[in-house]
Amino acid sequence: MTDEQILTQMQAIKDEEANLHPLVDNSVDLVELEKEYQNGSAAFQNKIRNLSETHDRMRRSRGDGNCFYRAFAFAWFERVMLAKNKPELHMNAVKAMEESKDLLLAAQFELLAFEDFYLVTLETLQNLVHYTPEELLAAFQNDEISNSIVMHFRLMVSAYLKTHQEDYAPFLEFGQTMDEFCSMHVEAMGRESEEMMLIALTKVTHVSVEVAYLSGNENVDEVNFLPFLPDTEPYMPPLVLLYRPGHYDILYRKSHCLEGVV
Amino acid sequence: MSSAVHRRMLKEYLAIQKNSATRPHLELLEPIQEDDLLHWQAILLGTADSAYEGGRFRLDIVIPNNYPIHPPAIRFTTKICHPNVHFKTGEICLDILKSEWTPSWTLESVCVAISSLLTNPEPSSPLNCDAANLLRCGDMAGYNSLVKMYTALYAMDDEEQ
Repeated sequence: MTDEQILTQMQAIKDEEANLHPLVDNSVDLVELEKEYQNGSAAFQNKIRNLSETHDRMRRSRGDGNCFYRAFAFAWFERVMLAKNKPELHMNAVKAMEESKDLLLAAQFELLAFEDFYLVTLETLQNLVHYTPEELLAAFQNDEISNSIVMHFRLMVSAYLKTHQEDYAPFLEFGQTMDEFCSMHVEAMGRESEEMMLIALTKVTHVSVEVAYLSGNENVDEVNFLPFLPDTEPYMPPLVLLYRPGHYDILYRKSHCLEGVV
Repeated sequence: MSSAVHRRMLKEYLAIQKNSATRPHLELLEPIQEDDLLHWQAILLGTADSAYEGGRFRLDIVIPNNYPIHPPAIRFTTKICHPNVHFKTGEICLDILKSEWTPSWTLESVCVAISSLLTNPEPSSPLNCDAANLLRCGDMAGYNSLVKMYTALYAMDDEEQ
């Protein structure tokens, strides 16, 4: 087989898997998560039971390597959409997005190459003032819109890392440049994210996020929450993401279990 | 048909026309027919002082509907002797056209990358083993004369293209 045939075949396998799940799913009761582990280890079951004391719903993001970016974007945009009585959330989000354009230019990205992704993301954000939850979900389930948003988020992360090399280059593998790291692990669609990308995205968007690590560690019954904070004072409660090795989904915390969530 | 890809290709088309003076090794980069922005052609010029000097190498470029999330399919239609180009099919082995593609590339920057592949071959991932083996043995004289011969044979006669 030639390289091209191998690549086509790999893509076909991915597509088949992907079509089983929407890019972003309806939210479901946390009981659904418990069901996944009903025949699993006690460690998982105990952790989920503990988690359900403070959280009541979750929303799955497709496991296509973009789940972190898509989950983060959806959770953030949904928060802004539901807080129609708090216009400052929307203003801050639009401002962060508009500033990202200058950041990308400062990181030497060609306007031509990123403008379409940027405009789709900004337009979706601007639409939040009149979107219903169903319309937001439909936008994130639309390949073109959803992937443009993911792509813009990836480029924001890459641009942040490239313009803050002095802070992040020490974490790279020996001999790897930040440009190489970003093109290989950040900018390419489908590449999974690691902690450095979470930190960068938090800083760029000024949105804090807490990641609930659900692991099979037998020694603890509590889910470990890891906070990621922006440099500025957070202006809203953190987004909550559920992490299981290799995958991110969205969690809904009870205290701001908002009305009208699909 | 996706309108996003057409919008993007139109932007690239206009930018390429504006920049034409700034890329010496790219003689041409344009849609084959004006009404089809998803099928392009390019002509790369062999760099002076390289074994490809004097050659004009034609590329066929097919833009998928989900470009630029997915890479364009690019192959040489002019026969070329190069370790990373399949001699019969013109398939190009270049990481950015495959696994390392990122949407921050444009057609123009990709063509520049292919052009620089000509003078910076990567013999460890060959599609043309004969050319790659000469390089790996360090037989530069043999390699250069082989490349020159094929360049003269296939890439210098306009009628042939």
